[in-house]
Amino acid sequence: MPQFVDRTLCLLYRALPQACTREERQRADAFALWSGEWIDLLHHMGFVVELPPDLQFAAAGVIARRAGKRPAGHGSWARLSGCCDALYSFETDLWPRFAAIKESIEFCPGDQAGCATALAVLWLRKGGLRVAGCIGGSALHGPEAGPALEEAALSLLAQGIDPEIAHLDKLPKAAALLREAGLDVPAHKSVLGIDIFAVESGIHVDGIVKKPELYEPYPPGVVGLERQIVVGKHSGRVSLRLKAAQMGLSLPREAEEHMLAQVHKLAEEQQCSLTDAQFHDLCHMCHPPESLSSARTDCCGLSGATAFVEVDHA
Amino acid sequence: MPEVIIVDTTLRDGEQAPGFAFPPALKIRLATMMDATGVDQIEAGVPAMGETEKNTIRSIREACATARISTWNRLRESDVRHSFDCSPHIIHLCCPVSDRQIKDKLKTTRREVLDALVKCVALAASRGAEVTVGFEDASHASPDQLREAAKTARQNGVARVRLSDTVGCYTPDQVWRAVRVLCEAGVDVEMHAHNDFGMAVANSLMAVNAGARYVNTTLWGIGERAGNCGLAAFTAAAARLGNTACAVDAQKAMELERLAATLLPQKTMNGWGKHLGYGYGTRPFGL
Repeated sequence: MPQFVDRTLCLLYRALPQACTREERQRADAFALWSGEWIDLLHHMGFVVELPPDLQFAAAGVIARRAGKRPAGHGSWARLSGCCDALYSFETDLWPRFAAIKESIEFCPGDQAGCATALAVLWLRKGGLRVAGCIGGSALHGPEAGPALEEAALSLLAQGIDPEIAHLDKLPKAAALLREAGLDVPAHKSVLGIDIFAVESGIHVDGIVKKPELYEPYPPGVVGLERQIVVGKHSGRVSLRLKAAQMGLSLPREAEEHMLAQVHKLAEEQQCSLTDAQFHDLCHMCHPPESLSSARTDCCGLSGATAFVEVDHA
Repeated sequence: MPEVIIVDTTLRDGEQAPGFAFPPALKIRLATMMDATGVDQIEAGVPAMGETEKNTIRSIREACATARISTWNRLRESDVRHSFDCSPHIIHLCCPVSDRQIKDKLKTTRREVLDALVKCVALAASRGAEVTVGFEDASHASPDQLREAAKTARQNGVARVRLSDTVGCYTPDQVWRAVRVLCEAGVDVEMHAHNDFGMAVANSLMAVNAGARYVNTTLWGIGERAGNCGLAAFTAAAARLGNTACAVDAQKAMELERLAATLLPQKTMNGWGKHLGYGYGTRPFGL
């Protein structure tokens, strides 16, 4: 059974100054309260949370109030850190050296070469039991954070290996807590980003309508997200139709050609996709408002967002 | 030391990231900047999209001094004819190779796909352009399916195929095995990785380690969903790990991304290019 050890609290704790002034004490208090929520959430999902020494007493209080898994200790694990450049030698050198004692090793590769998640996944796929890193990984905390645990867990899941992490659909809550703590979670961040299931390309929208898994690595609901249609330079007629239906707008077939040209023109002019409000206004311009439909249509699980063109990727 | 050749697809696959819409002048500017940085091949766009796209690709071809310009095409003869209008150095054909792409998207058979491949390759090569083939959704194809498609391509004069991890689910060990299958089938390999599980850079590095000579990148790693393999991220990692040389210098790639980012509206960047030096570091609780 793989174990994922989250080091977020230790990294955040390290960045806090000594609580000498009143402001610093307030900040330390805010951190302690926030930590309680973080620990609760991650334990609920099945992660092991590493606690900074000064927080262990407070955290024990939080945990004692709730039933659930208690944090695992670190006594029987030796942390194998660094190894950030071990990608090429993992199979021939790193793994053979530690395979015999894999039950005692907690693998925590650095992300200086952008390979930490990949190394963690290789470790677990070879039979390693435990990896340490952070939710969000280096995209949020810098390369010292190690692998992004949510990426490693989802990758295992996609390979048909149960990562023993429940409630991955709570990851948006984790992202919200990280934002609350002052960290920036990019909208396109793998697994965590709120826009990773936004689609603009006409071919992709068409493919997703036919069979979502053709252009999605896993169903959005697995990580608590939704598909979104964005309308812009790369949108096609199917996208417009679905977007209009989703927003409760009627878009007759005869208006689609003109509407599509307007969407492409506006997207190029402003160098980005359209917002929902812009799409709404264009619909009104291309088609009189009396034809607005009040009925919303089920769009194959595609939900609203912002804007896109008509060809694909691969 | 083998040299990695960069094929940048910012202007095609990258631009499909929701939020981006490059006007023609910007595409030309970005292309010339990449050309000056040492990018060997620029995937400039999709001619089947229309006249504006074709004109832009033609302008890019004229503006770039050394980079070779390629166009992206579905496996359709009509797409190839659109590409002829742009006189690209390279015509790239996208060929689905997984059962699910063939059955559920194209609603056809593998035999028909390979027949279409043969026809399109012959047509594309008829005007003198180099032809490359992209194996779409390769990560959901078996080794035998990859081998069969590669042999068909090679027997029809194609020297290079693109291993496309369309939904980004490859792990590095799987990439290594797939690249070996293609190399042993006698074709040059180009890696096209997506970042859905945060492994685009690692998978591209592993492809090179297994024998791939070409790597697809985009500026800032932009692309659909979680993006593609970033140019600066890849070149920096390749330089750090050693064992390969890269025609694009890591420092120059970083400077290119930094400068190019200033040409786009800031709201469009929306967190892409975080590695350029801002946004890193932990500043919790209002510090």
